[in-house]
Amino acid sequence: MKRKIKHLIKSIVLRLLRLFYKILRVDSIYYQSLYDMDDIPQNVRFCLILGAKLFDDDSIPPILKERLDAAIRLYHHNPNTIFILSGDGRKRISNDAIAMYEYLRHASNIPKEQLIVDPAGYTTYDSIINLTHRISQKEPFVLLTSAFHMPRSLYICHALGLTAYAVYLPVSRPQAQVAYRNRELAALVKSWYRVHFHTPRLHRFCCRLRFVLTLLLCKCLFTAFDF
Amino acid sequence: MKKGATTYPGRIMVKLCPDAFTYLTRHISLILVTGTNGKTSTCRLLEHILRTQGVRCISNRSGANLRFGVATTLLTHCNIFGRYKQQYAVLECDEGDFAKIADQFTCPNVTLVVTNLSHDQLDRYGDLQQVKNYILCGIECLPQAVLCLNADCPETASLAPLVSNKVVSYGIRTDVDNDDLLSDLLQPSCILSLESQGALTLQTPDVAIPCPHKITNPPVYSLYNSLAVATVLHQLGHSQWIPSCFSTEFYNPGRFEVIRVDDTSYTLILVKNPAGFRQALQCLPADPTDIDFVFAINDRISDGQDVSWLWDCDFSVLNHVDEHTTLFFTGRRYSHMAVRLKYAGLDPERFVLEPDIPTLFTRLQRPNRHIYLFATYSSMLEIRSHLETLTPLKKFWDQ
Repeated sequence: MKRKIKHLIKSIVLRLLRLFYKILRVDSIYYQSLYDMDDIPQNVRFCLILGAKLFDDDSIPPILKERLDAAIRLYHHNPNTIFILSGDGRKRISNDAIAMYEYLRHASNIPKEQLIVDPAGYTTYDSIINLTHRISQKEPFVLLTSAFHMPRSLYICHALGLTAYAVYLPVSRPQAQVAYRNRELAALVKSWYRVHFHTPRLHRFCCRLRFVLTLLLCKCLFTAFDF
Repeated sequence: MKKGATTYPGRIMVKLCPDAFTYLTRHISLILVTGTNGKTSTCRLLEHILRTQGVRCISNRSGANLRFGVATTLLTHCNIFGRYKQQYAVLECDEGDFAKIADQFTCPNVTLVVTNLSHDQLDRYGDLQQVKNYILCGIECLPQAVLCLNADCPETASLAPLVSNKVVSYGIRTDVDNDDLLSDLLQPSCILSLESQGALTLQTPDVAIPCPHKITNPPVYSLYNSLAVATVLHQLGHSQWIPSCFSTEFYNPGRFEVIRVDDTSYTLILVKNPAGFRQALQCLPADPTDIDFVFAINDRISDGQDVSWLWDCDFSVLNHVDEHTTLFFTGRRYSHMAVRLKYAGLDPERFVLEPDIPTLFTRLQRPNRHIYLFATYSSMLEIRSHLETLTPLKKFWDQ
């Protein structure tokens, strides 16, 4: 019984998320922006590569490796491309932004002047917002990320008024793509909220509220269980 | 706080609110103590002096010095808006974890003490350079911090040219030349003079402060801990309390803690790394009689799973103890320690191997003997909890 209720709730939430996905016309935006690498104009200077969490032993996961290998192919197609490697640099000793930089330096002959590390790309939204600080609003750029991650990334670009060329990456591990799909549905709500309602002031308030609530919870646990 | 649960609230806090330290450290002045040896003693002495002088402060007394432990200490004392009744937070920080939390410390008043740096828990940290890198990463995140560095430790002193922070250094100078105590890398600004008559004077950039001390022959490392505290007090503008750093006797469990059970006296000494073991052995009485030794070596995570550091310790001082002294070995790696001492030239006929602690204590109970117990962290806790059953003692976690 308990299992059935859990299953029912899960399916309702998923249906609502899928409905939300359709309302935002994410797939439509995705298919409009999808290009083969050979079709990307030569005058597009920038390429944003979105990072992914490293494995526990700091090795690069396959979903990140496929993005970086595509970046190398893009470099051979257009050697003037400047690559922006965006990742979460909060872990100072080893993080995805640095790992991406090192991988590209070792696996290709891309000059280091053409590799820009953005360690403040904590989320997809942050990575794209950080990019807007480097390029003008009207300048198009190439977006490189995995197939499952691309629709949401393109939705954010579209909502922010940016022109992105999405490189089509063939799905290398279909099982992994399915596993990430539900996560992407939930993350889309967050991205939608951040694109349309997020202001620095509201963000500060939310962070503070989260802190107060967590602190309250910890103090309650502390008192209740006498840690 | 109960044993083993000292970090759960902090763990939950950091997991649910990754930027918790930003808010937890906004409204309190921080005094952070890191380094290889002497962190706990320095923190406890500083906290003791501040409390004695009526300054309210908080401290992670239970020794939980990783980020979850630090978070637990802070969150238990603050109100729901992250404000404190206390003025200072004296926090002991693990040198490996320091960089992970330092970038969230938003408090404008931060004093960071680096006591010393030496090889410790190589299985966890890698080499010494890695530990230095961790500390440098942490310092980079705290441009507002004032650094109190031990100028007599070459590794600590070498941090000074690499940082742009304000640096206050401390060191000991004696009448007699002693190369062990001197390092030319950094000229100390707070100098403790050890005069031949045993008098102590602290020379700060502004004034010379005579410091009375109760112990006639204090171990050098204890002087360094007191000096670190004196330097912090000078930096904070509380120079009038400096003399008490050298005359205060405070309770520091497991660190040369003397416990009497009937006619037998036990001195419990925590040893974690070669530098600490060397200092502990140097503090043995010059002409030891009626003493026995216990070596309790464990290889749990809290002790460091790699016990090869025992081979870096100098045990030659044990060759001079009298022939009636017995050496007992216990803990999970008792045989490893016995082999080490055999190679140090000690006679294995005097060795007693007893892995079981209660049985060991029945064999130790001999009248008018003084037992020196050298124990790694987890075995120190085991020994102490056994001693608590033999004599009334404050529990380690209730200190």
